[in-house]
Amino acid sequence: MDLLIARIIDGLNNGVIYAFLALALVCVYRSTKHLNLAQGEMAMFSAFIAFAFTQAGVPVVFAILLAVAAGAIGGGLIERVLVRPLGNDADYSILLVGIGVFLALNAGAGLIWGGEPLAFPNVLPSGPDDYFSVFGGRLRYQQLLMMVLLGLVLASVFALFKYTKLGLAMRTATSNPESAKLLGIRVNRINALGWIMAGAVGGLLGPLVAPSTTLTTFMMFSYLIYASAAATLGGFDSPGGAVVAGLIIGVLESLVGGYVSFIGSDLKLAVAFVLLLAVLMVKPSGLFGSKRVERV
Amino acid sequence: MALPITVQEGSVQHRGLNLGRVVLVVAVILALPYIVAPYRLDQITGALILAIAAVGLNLLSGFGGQISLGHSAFFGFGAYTTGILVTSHGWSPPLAFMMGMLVCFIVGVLVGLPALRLKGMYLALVTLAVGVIFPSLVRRFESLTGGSAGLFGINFKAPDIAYFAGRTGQVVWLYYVAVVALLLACLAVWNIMRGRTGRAIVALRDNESAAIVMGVDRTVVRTVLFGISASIAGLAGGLFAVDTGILTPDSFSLLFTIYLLVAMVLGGRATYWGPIIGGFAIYFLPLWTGEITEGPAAGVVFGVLIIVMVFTLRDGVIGGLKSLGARFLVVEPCRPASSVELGEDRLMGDAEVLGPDEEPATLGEMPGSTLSATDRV
Repeated sequence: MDLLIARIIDGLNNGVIYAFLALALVCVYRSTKHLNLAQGEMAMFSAFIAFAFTQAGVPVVFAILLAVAAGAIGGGLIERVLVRPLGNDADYSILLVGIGVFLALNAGAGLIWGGEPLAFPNVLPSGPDDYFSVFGGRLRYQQLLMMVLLGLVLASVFALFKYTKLGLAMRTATSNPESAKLLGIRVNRINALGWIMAGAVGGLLGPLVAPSTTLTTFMMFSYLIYASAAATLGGFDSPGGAVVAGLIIGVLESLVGGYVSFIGSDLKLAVAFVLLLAVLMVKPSGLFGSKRVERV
Repeated sequence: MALPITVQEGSVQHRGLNLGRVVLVVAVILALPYIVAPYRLDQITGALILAIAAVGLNLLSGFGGQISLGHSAFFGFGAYTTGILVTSHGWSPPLAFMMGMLVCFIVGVLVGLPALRLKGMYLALVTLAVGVIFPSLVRRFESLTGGSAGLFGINFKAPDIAYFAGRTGQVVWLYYVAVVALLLACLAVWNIMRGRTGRAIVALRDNESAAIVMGVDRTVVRTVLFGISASIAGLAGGLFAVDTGILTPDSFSLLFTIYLLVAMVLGGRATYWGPIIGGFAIYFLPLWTGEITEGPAAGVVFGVLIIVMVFTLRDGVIGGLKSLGARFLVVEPCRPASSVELGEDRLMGDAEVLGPDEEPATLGEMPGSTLSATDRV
């Protein structure tokens, strides 16, 4: 029983990370309909920026806030400089730009901060005794913080979309850019906002993950793969779906990897994707995605 | 002489130009082993192998319009099938290549089945799944694949001819094997794309619903397309196995797929020469950036270079070359016969005459589309 709880908590911890990153992917997808391959590296770079601030003597919490701001600015810049000029109908070009940003940020972080893993401080105390006991399992403070923050971010994204005029404009711009323009919505700015939100979410995630993974240039790579799976499973345009799917993938992977000896740790990733395949077979637009109806 | 020069399509000059191009390509292929150093020729072989894989990807993603992030897996299936058959079962490499292609075809069709229901991002993610799972499969089935330690000792001995003697001869031999494989792959793609099937593929890409209404069998076309594209990637994988002689799961990571995508798009999507040029670019650019800078800086330069090329060459290198070439030489297409007496067959026949660099016309711009609807019925 204890082992089961431990595995579930373990899965949730990973799931939160997938969910966070998937949320960022969804923000971008909702705005410009692209998979941002560089999302993980943007989060990684933000973590390094936070690290630089802590080195300069800024308290961790403020360093993270600065990283969030940096992430937001970075996201906005990428949209304005690299995505918008390519225009609509440039799927492959933007995929390539994502790859370019990915490689440049990855190598850039290595260039500035070196290839060695760095230690990043926790926000909350993280001694051996700093945990909540949940049915005998250990939920560490930092991990609890991430879950709470994930909930807050999701709630505010949801509230933004549902209850504000800006959110309505964002939904309009997603569902029909042409009509939105005719209604006087500045679709370009709205799209930029999606990238800014994604950058900020990544900027929050990076420094929070860094203590457990240690700060390296490749810390986000496998998370990006899981996050894309989570975003797809959830339905790519649904923030709530992305979060739920992220948590499901995390827990399921941990349980299957733990209990089915054939799978072991090697095929954990495969579990996530087989689940993805199975769901897409039944629901081609994910668990919570909106169906697209096409006119001939 | 006033530029650009205009040449009538199908005229003697035009045919001469086309013949000249073929002669030039053949001459370069034959001359390379003599004019470059063996280590450079070895690199060219590596680039050729990448080019073959990119040609395979281009068939699916460029002409077919289906993004695949899983071609590293097909490449890997080909490589490991060849590797295992050659080392453990003593097969001769050409037979092993074919077996690898067959395995890839089957896997490709299997992956293509779920792809029927999915589009865009969702399809990309399913193929990504295949690509991501492959290295873990290799690690899991260690007894068969050698796992993380790698599979060693795969080689393709040159036949006993003086020309291919010694270490240099072996390099030249593999170079020619890669050249022949690339030619075969291009020929296959060219043959598929210039006929009825090719038009069906392009129609499905441009407007799926309309294509189905017109009688294109989506299930067959899409799955077979997936299979053929995968088996071309598998052929490249088999060559990779005999060329490097050692296979590790890390060679077939997501990064490889990404490189292939870059190769295809940078070279020129849905063109015949694009993926080849892209394959060379993606092989030599990192080498080159690695030479002029050191360590991580090379990665930054490479990344920035990709972005710059996306912005300067919107239609890939081929698109850039074409618009450059159009300043000097314009090939005036011969007018499609406009009289209706010739009938539908004649018109469609004209549509098939395409230069090696041209994409088959999309539905909207078929020659003869100036005819009114009643004329066509």
